[in-house]
Amino acid sequence: MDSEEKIDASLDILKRMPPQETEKHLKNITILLQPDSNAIEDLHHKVDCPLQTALDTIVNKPFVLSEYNRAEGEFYRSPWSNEYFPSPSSFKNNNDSSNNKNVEGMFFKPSGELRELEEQANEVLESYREMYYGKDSVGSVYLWNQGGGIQEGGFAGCFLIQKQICKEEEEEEEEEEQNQSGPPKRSQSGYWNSIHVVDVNVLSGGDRVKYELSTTVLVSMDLIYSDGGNHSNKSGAKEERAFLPMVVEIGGSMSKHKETIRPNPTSTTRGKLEHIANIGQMMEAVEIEIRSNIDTLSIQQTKDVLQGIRKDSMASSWAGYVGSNVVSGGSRSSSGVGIASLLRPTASQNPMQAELMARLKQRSTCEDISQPNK
Amino acid sequence: LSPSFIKDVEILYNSRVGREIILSDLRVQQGQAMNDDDFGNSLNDAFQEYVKGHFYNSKGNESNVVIHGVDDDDDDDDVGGETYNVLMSTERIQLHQYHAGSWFAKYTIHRPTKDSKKVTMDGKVQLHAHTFENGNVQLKSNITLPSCTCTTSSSSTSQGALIEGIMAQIHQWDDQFVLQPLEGVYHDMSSEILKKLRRVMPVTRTKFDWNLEGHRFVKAVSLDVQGGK
Repeated sequence: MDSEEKIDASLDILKRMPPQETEKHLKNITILLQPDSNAIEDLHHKVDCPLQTALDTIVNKPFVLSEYNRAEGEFYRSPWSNEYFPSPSSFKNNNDSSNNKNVEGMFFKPSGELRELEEQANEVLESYREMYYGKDSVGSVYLWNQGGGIQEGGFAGCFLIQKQICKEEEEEEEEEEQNQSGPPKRSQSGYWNSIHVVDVNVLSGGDRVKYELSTTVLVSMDLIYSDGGNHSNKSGAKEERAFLPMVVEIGGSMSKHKETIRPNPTSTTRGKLEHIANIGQMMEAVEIEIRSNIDTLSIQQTKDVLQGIRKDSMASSWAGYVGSNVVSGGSRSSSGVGIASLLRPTASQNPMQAELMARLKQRSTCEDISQPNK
Repeated sequence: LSPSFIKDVEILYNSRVGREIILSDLRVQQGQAMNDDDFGNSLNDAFQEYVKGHFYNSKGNESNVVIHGVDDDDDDDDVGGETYNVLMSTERIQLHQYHAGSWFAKYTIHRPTKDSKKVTMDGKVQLHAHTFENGNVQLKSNITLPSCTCTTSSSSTSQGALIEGIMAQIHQWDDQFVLQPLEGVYHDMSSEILKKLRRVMPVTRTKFDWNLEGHRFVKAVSLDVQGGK
């Protein structure tokens, strides 16, 4: 298998895996690909993993880690101080003797106009990020030269935003005498990662500039209900709440590609800021589009799939029929009260239900094993 | 990559996710013990009906249910209890509509003695939905059902009543612990979590202003204000 085929096969696998596990599978595939380091590197560039962050200790601000600000090994450049973390000085010293120039070259740092543009882009991104994602998100912009360099108007960059939530909610306990629904203990967590990669090229003629934006958004939303979601407390003051975990995870990755052509901003430094505005507007539009897609299409679609599997899903109105007829006479009735009280009697909705209902009357009971023995 | 290797991998994968119960013949799966076991067979029939009634089995869907009966290893008394392991699964694959999904349920029904009127039940449900029209979005869910006992009142003699009780319990489980919470989950995902991750619009109700000078001004002013305090 040549490198191309390997990469294609790997991408094939990765796009089918649960998006939250992308990193894990990427690692495993890398092991399979050894020792073809070219293929491995290519694959890493093509696959988007959830973003990690690190702290820039010089200015005490977090920044995003990515392939675009990574240098040899595990060194990442911070856009705030333009330095690498962890400090690569020991690495440089060790490799100093013969290849001084080469080692320095490995640790790319934009300078001059490019660096100024990068600084300003980071500033603006900070405001944008806080408006949409809140203060606890992290964002970074990394720029690099291409297509003749910034002097010719050509450069490339990436805008990265990472937002994570990890939260637990627990409402107050209600009175135990009341047969109220016990508050479910829920924990919600998730992340949103925006990865925008943009290519800026001046078109021949010099008066127009083309922006090509590739965006990938990785989202994950996890809900963990203890106590079975909307399951209500059955009865009894001394009952111990059984731990019934219900885990639902939705994860997704969506990509879009957009191109715009704009008039070339003037070559002054002030003019270069327009690049940021142009890119920013494209970026915002794409993010809004993807967010609404995730909301309406993808989540809805998974719901549709499940509805296509199960005949009576979401027909919650007939939830009540079982309970009302299950309680039968005799000594069991008192313990059956709990079940009946939480389920409402409703009209049956199809012949099979009606038959089952009739047969169940007075014939059997089912009770929760956690109830105290009578 | 010989065909036999691919086949081996397929078999291993299928057994891991439970697909083999969809693909294999039901009668073949049941061991010799089931043939003598009236209760087991009736239970099997009841489950077949349940699956037919609740799960689609056509147009891209495949559903099936399998029961294994395992004798309790009970040295103390010869009454011989049984444990029934039920695997129920439905799979939906619609490649031309870019989606696929599966519902996989595993129930354990334990009958302490052969003629007991009481069984204890446990179960787990796993859901998986995948849409790949615009990217890759997957929903995975793992639900553990609460332990339960099901008892026939002493007046009824046939085991049919017990079986009906069991099926009713399964149904109630499905409704109360799978379908209803799922609705709540979808609502939460949309309205709560996604909003917490990213607002629909900034507080200003307008799109972001990409003019850098404006932001510098605002920042300077707010720093000033904080310093002034």
